[in-house]
Amino acid sequence: MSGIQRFRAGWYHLNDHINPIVVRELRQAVRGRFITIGLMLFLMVLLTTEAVTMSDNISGKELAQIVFSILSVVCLILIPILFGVRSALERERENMDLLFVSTLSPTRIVTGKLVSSAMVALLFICAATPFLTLTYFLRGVDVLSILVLIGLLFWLSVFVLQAAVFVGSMPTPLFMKLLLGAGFVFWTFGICGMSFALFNEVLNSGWHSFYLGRGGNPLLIGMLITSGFCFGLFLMNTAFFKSPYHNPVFAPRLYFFLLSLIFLAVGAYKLSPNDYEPVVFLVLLIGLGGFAVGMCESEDHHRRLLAKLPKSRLKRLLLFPFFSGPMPALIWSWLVCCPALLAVVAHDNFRFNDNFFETALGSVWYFQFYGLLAFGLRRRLFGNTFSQRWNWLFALVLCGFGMFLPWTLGVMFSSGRDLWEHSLVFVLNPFGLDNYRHRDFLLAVSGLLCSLAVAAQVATLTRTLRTFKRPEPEKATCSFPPPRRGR
Amino acid sequence: MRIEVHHLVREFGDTRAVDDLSFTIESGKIYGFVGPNGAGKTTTMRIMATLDLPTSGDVFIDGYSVVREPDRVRPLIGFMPDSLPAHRDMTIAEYLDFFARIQGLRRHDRNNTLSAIEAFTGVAPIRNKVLAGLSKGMKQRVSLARALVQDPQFLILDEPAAGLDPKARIELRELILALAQQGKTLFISSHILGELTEICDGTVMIEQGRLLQAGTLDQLLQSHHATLRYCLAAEGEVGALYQQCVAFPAVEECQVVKNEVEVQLREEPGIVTALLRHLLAQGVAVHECRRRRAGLEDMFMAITRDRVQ
Repeated sequence: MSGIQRFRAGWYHLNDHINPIVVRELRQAVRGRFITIGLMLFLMVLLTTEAVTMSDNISGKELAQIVFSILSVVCLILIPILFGVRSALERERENMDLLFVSTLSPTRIVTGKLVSSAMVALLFICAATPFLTLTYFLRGVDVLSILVLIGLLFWLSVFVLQAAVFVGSMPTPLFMKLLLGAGFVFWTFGICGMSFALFNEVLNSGWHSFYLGRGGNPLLIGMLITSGFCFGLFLMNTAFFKSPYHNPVFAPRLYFFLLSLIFLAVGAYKLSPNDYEPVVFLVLLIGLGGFAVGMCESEDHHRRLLAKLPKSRLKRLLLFPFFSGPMPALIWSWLVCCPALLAVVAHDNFRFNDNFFETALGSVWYFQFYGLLAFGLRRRLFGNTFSQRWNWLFALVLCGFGMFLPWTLGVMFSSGRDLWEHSLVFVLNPFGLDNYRHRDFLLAVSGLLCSLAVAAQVATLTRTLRTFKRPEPEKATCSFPPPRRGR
Repeated sequence: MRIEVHHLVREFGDTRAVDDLSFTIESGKIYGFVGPNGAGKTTTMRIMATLDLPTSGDVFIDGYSVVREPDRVRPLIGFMPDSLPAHRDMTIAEYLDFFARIQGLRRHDRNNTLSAIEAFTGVAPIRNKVLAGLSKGMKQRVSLARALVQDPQFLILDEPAAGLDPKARIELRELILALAQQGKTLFISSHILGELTEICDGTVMIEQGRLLQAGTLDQLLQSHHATLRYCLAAEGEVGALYQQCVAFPAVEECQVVKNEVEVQLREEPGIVTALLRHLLAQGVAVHECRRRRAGLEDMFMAITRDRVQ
């Protein structure tokens, strides 16, 4: 067999084993107008920029900053938006049915989408490499810095693309998707701004000096945390593509629970109290975010799913927080938030009057109160008006009222410094915890409110726990003969 | 392959979309699934295709439960939804290739399978056209081709003839009959009852999620139209024919339908001959007399006549 034949046979073999989603998405991307026109425009912009700036005796460093800025906008904003919209349209057209009925696993679907979008980002990065090479010849920037920044940009774009596919694939109504999409666009602008700052700093100081200086450790920690979240997003994405035969939240909840514990343990071991606070804040964010998502989930577990539950009550209780539904989400959020709060206290030698601890505790109480209030009110009053999926937004609206209504009343009845003296004005305002003078009072109020909200859900929680067990086997009342197997 | 729907219930909140539905589909037959809009046809078909879960009950496809063993059921079924995604950036060949890859078909098998399917469904000449530019009839052919990629033994077709022109409808009917000749079992939902009568071996009728009738077409039509109905046409005025028919003692029902008279006769041996003799004796020159076969439409109307839709 000649070399060419061997190569061809190898290529066919490889071609057979490529993820079908990658093949489809890339074919669509190549055939579609957006990528082709976008690539042409991108090259034109780069060419024009280089032509204009070269005549001004610009240094390589300055040109690299411009090229990386353009690349960041394309890879961190435009391509993620494109793939997010594609995923959303695919969901809207209910094309997913044909994938669900196939033998393709959710993991392969999500991996395929991620790989194809990352390859498009890589295409744009590759298209920009001649221009980046030019920046080296103009002097002022070293090869290592350029290579590291290319690697960083690609890694960041993978994270943002994962988030884009996540938002696009959410099985939500169109209005909610538009709302989430708008939020995602703002978020990408934030990420892009942060990357500008990072890239400029690396280009100004050079990678070697940046890494050995004060930038190395935060960058590594940031990369580790972002990678952790990236994998979590992947698991959540996979959950969207699971059929109703599975408990979709099990893997993401377990992963984020373990991730929180690792963050807390590693942070407690390695970080000073001041550096530990952002880690705890992050863990609380995970706990409250999971709670907000769980409030929107259906807890109507199918009997097939419940049939797989263990007989032992203890094992069932351990599994309960990792099932979908508001009540399991509430317990799960406690499992994440309580260790975080305990870790703060323990890290601070068991001082309970610590500024950060009080603010963190109050925030957890406030946000759980508003979440449960939204859940309870929707269930009792607006059950027919809007679906459970809007609970998170309802909770945010209530939280907004809690913040702004007392403030407006306060402005109406007092002014200036007096406003801060009226602690009652801030009773429902989680951000009132910043005002140290009334913190004890506000903490007591938020604790009481949260306890009342939890007490109101005790009946629901008990009922959910009671039904969280193996169902009775169905009695066959059918007149058909027993099922036959085999053709 | 035998398909057994076993006390199927599907609830959406307070609404029971499917209510204790039980029926059986025999191997290698074409079954029609008939019911008004909102009767629960698509919900039932989605459960059979493992796209949805029943609240209770089960469906057994070749003995495998769609609830307990969906992974074993999926290779046995092909599901054709009522619409095809309108990709602007994908050709028919790429679309079918994608689903062949999903099935894990390697290069040679993939090419052979797709060539055979494209030839069978008649999409080979237009295989390089994008999906968005296809007519409704062609989209249905592509959709059928996609469902055939894994060579399923049981095909679930949801409203395949909806929106098709008469030519496309005839072509689709021929494809369905060809598939049945290959020994595949087909389950077709449709509003066009006349067409189902022509191609189906059996039918399942539902309304408001409940079963009205199920069985082979012959059994059902026999049970619903045991009476003898004939259509008569005569030269000249239809009024004279009608009056003479009414005057005949064995005629139980008589009505004018266009230029013909439709009569229902009492079941007696030689009663049709007697009627024709009577008409000729009265000077009515009958030039056409044929037995009226009842269709699904008549049966469906008879069953749902007194029900509130």
